[in-house]
Amino acid sequence: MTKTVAVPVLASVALFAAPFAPRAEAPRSLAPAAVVSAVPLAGSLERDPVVFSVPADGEPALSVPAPAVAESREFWRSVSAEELRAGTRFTTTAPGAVVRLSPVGPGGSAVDPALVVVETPKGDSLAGPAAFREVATADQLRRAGAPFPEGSTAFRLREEAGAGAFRLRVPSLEPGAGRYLLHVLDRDSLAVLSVRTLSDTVFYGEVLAAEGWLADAGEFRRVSFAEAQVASPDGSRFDAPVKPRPDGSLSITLPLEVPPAAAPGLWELHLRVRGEAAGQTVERTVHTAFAYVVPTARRSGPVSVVSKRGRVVLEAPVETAAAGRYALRALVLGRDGKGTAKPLALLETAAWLEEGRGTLRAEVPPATVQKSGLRGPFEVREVWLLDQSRLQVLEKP
Amino acid sequence: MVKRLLGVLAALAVALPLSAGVTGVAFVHGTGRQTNAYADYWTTAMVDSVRQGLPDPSKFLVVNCDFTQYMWASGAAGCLAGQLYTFITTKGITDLVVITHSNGGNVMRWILSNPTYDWRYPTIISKIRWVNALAPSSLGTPLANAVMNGTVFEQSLGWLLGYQNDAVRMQQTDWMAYYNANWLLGTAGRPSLPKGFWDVVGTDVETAVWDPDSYCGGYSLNLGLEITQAWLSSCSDGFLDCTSQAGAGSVWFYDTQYTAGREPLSHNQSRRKCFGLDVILRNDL
Repeated sequence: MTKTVAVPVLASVALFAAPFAPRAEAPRSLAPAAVVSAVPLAGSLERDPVVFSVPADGEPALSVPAPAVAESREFWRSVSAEELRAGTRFTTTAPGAVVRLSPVGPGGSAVDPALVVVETPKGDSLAGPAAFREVATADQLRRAGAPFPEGSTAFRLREEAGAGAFRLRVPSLEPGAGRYLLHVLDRDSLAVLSVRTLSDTVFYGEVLAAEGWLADAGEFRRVSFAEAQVASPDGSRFDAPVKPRPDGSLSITLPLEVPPAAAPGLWELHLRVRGEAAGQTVERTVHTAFAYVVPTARRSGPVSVVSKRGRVVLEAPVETAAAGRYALRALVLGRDGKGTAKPLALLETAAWLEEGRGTLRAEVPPATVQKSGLRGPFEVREVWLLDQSRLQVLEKP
Repeated sequence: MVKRLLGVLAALAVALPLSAGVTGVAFVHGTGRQTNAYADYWTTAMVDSVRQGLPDPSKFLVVNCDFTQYMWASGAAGCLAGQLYTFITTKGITDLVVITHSNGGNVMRWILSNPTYDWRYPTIISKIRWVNALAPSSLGTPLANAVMNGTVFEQSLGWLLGYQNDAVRMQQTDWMAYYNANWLLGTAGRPSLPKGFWDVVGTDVETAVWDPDSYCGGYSLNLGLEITQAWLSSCSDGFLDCTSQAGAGSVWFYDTQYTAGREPLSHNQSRRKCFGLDVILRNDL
């Protein structure tokens, strides 16, 4: 099962040589014009400036959660029809795994579950229904909310089949029937592969850094094989070197000075390993998402806050490498009667800026200032700079 | 409950002619491209029952957009904003309750979280009383991960071939973690949304052939759940873990707290006239 959790787990195995350290994120310089022009304008092309403000009574800062940890109890690999005819092996560490077979590419045909033979770890050879607790076709899975590819077949192994090394055969498959994706969810396994990037944003020309680890019941397990790939939203793929650390975890680094994707969306880091768990050689695959950001703009100076006769006005100088709609988000603070800084408002302003130098402006509504009872000096914190035309977060706390 | 107090105040406001606004309700569907969500997605029985809670039951909108796209796309949030804005301005709506289902909650949350992205957004936000988010996929779903898995290492399964739509891709748990941390408000550790976002959480699925409750919303839709639930936790509506449904805004209620017979709402049932859900939503207007 692949799922994403919000906080790091595995306290008992948190032995990373390089501890996670969030950092303020902003591009060091603007990207070359040729690179900037390749980023698709997939977002807002709105030309009218818009300002929005909400009072920030007791509001938390515009904080950024640490990059999520993705976990997996599953794996997938491609197998040929010939391999399925002869029998392909896979391992589970808990009974009741779910197995999916999907034809790869156009024209592939569904595997009839009645014609599948499962050789169990106990040495039994079970045909079709004798091996499965439940079976579902692609149409049934789609109706249940999981639109697996056409021709997919999924089944859940009976508990009695046990756990360990299985061999899956489909003797009736025609030779040359193409390839299939074998996808196994070892749902109740304690063998979990995790991965996280050290930042959820990688700027053009910077290095993607991530760490992964295989654990069994909360204890690190060394891996015998590991490979990683980075995939862009348009399908481009890049191999990423994986290095084992002394503590058994894995370090993945990849300098990314590659063209932006032709399609919008996030990039993904995929990690695949084999290692020992529960006395078995297990396979696991996991992925996590991050943004690959081409610096199209940056703040060219601090945000100024001018307070005059009850009005609080912000101005942010911005340098852009390309025209677009840019937005500034910030938390505005004022002083209470004791001189303590208190949140006043969450302010967001956006405008179309041409290439070169421009300014984003916004005013806190006077009524908000008056109602808050806060006075100057006013200040801003938690500044974000967004490229709304290209869906890029250019700066965040 | 704060929401109930606000509801009483809103009802009082409706009852006072001098302060009365014009209340409307909008239904926002989930993933998919809809052309007649009134009949196909929600069913007329559901919509017509809920809108009876309005002072003027004609002040309702059933949105039809292309939510196979990313939430920010013109066919998704742009389309939603266009239909909401037109509804608000042509009907004179000053008090709007939005009812979303599933991924519709994410598209609505995009508008609430990015008020400067489109000139129509501030007007829409200002008119919204609150959003009732039925089974929102706020933290994504492991099922989307499962569907997408295998498309990277396998050379023949190209994303360029349109193997899956962008909405499915976006609802992978790792993708939603990024969007929640960077573009969307209302999840843990992030600022609140500018308007209330009240979650209705489906906790279980009943698929017994002999149980008539399984048939509400269409039994055939529930085939395959025994397999797909393997990707989900013990508390789920068959498509989303409860944690995802409760992941943004505030939980209004877990299904069995208020449904007739304390029946759980599967993901398909939380958009249908099942177990009194329509009456609960009607009484909230």
